[in-house]
Amino acid sequence: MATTARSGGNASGSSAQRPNGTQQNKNCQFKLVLLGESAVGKSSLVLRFVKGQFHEYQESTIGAAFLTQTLCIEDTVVKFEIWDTAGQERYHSLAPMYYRGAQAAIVVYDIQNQDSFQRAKTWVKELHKQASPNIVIALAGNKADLSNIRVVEYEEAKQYAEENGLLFMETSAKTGMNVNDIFLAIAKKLPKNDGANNQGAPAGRRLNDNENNRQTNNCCK
Amino acid sequence: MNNSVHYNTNQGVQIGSEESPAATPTTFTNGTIKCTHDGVLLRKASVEHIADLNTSGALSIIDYESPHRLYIEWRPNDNILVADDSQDWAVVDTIPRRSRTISECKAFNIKPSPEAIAANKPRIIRTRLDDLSTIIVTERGQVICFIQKSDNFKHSEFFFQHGNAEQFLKSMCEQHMIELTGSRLDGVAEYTVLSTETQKLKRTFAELNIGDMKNSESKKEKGWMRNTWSGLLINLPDIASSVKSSTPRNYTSRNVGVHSCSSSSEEHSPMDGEIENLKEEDEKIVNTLPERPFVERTKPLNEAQWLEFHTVDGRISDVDRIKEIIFHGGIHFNLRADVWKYLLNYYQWNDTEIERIQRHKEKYKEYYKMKAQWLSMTTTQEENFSGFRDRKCQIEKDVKRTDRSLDFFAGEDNPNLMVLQGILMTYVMYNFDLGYVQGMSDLLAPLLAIQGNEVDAFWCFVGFMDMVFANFDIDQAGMKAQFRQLRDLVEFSNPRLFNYMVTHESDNMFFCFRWLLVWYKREFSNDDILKLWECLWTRLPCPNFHLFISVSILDQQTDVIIENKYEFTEILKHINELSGHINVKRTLENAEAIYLQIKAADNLPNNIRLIIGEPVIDNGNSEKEEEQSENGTDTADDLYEVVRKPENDRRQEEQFDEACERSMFLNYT
Ligand SMILES: Nc1nc2c(ncn2[C@@H]2O[C@H](COP(=O)(O)OP(=O)(O)OP(=O)(O)O)[C@@H](O)[C@H]2O)c(=O)[nH]1
Ligand SMILES: [Mg+2]
Repeated sequence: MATTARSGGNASGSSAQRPNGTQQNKNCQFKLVLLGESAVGKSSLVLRFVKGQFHEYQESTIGAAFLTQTLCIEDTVVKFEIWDTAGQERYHSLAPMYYRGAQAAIVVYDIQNQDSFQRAKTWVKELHKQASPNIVIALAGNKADLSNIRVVEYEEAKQYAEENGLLFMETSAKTGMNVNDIFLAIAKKLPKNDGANNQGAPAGRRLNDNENNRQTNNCCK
Repeated sequence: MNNSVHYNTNQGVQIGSEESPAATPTTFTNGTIKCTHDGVLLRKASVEHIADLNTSGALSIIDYESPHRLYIEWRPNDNILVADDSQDWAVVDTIPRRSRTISECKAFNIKPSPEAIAANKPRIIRTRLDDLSTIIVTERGQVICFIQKSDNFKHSEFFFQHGNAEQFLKSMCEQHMIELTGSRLDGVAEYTVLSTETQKLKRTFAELNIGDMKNSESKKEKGWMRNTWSGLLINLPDIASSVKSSTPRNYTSRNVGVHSCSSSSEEHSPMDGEIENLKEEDEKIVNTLPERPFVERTKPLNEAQWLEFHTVDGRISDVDRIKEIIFHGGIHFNLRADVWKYLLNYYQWNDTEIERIQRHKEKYKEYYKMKAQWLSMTTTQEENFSGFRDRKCQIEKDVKRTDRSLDFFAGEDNPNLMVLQGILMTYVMYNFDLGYVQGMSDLLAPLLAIQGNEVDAFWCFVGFMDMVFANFDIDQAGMKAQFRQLRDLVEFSNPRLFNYMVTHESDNMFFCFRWLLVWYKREFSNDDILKLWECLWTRLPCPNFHLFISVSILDQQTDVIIENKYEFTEILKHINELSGHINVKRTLENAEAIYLQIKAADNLPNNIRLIIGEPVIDNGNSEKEEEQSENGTDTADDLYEVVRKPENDRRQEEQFDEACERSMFLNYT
């Protein structure tokens, strides 16, 4: 149940009350980075999430791709700024550029590939050491559609995730399984307070687009 | 009734419509399409529509006779077809049977086709225009979002895949359904939905032809469109941006009295002041570049010409001339396999026929010797050899997803994939230290497709890798050096863009990473990349000409980047999305023109001279004065050392890294 906008007129009481009495969406923006060994399906997950597509022969990522997607959770509009990185070890030296300052990370492995799971653990360690202290990390066991030839057991990964305070889901970019859900779970876990933008602490940046527009609207009349 | 539509609120959404309390079916009859646009993706809506998210459909405004109201309707298209997976994030054509009209806005009285009405799906999203308060346009006109009146929440959001919402909204404006009430420089715009009464009133005014009102409206719209819409041009291969930048730019200082500008607008909008300021800033830079010369590509090297260059004993004479022809026109398709072998240093121009046959034989032997090395590796050996295993594993991953859209590599179990893999594995044995790095398969695939032969492709690949191996340094030193050089070139040739980038923390040039790493492979179609590469392989007209391709593309994108006020991330996104939309011919011509323009400049600084292989000078005019005076050397060679002296390098590198950091960790405040 992701990417849903509110429907109906049953405004929830949690939304901010505006001076003129109308309710106002909260807008938050988060930087999210995808990490994980090459070919585990990072780009495929992003493509599924952002465009609802899957390409069997998805090209390898060179450098990085930047995409955005927006989710609505209750009264909050969460905009993800997604950095999709290249997985090969050779490009490891570029990774800190992408994860530094990120409020969320999805570390991806391929359930058919034990090495990719080990690599995912290394990424988690590195993030814990080097990234923002409050970064929300999700572990994604991708290619879940190939679960009949899996080598990484669900329980094993689940346990690892629990021990390390990670969100965890098995996903399939191919079928779409759990793809929106993992982003939604992250969005839910991210702090959406609209307090001052404290440096370093990964709180989402609040946007005021709608607010400004509303105002323009009023004063133009 | 023939055109009737039965609509059941239980199956769709209909918010706040008094005529249709939930569970009471409403009948919609005699709809007239006021405007419609196809290829519109549903991005957000209420939960019932989750299955249709990211689905393409048609968005329309329909006037029904009963109930007599205007409705916004979105109907999903049934056939979803992923047409093009050759490009990273290319727009996917989801409308197989419809022509891709950018907009199909119709004015009045066009009846929806009977099938369209008959195919009434529960999946339709329909809401009364009256129930909406506002329409918000974002993402440079491609995304529109409907805000509902009742609670000011989003009702739904749509993404215009083809073109943008401009025509659709314009048509609504013209029909007085909405009114532009706010727009911002970053392209966010807001329209207020007019009440039925206001609509009537406006229509009456319009009929009375009250000129003033109309004028002020259209003026507002124009200014807004000019400044915010230009970003959309990236999706329409090179139209306006190219028209603008094809006029040679002339950066002269104001004192000379020549007004330099690239925008030729006459109307004035609030934005113009700002543009004016930017221009003035440009002109402060005293950087007198001569006129950009006109360059035109010529015909490719053809068979008759090629034969003429063969001497009796099979040597190739007048190599310079051949390279010149290739640089300016490329190579005829049939000759590519042959001529590339020379360009890529596999065959030697000066070899006689006999020598060439001999070389060919030796290279074959050498290749198979190396191939045998990895083929004969036992499982135990492999298990104990992680360096080899890693390389092998990465190759297997990449071979599967390299150029699969080319016929040559298409289809399951295509034998050419094994050949590709074989060559890359052999290259690992040829140069184990470099081994295999992602991106290399991209460089090899077109070579193999042209050579059609494993051994020849391998040796051509070796030649190509010799030109670009520094791109694959583990510490990215080669890439960083190129970013610096590119930065210098942009600074010198395009100060307007350069200044913009500096003030928008994008001057690290990092967004050109993919361009430079695989020599624009991902940016052009296969045909175009062959043209581009063979031109670059001539190494004419100067070393580092491949950087001028970047300078040329950036030159063509200057207006788009500046007018849209792109920040680092947006520039990166924009650059990535240019893939498939860059005109190779114009890019090459423009690149050469810029090179000639720079080369003819009076005060060519030594850093630029080094990049383009001009002799460095020591006459005090150079901008690198301090470096020269410090050292007091006279000869060009010594100066070369000075310019490259380690501390200088380190300082530059530090500055560069700093710039890199700055723009990567933008503080969103
Ligand atoms: N069966 C299956 N295949 C998948 C899935 N996700 C990705 N793939 C395939 O796995 C391959 C690699 O996917 P990518 O998305 O390119 O992987 P990546 O992690 O982005 O790789 P790099 O860009 O090299 O770091 C592609 O051939 C995909 O089609 C999945 O969920 N199921
Ligand atoms: Mg990728």
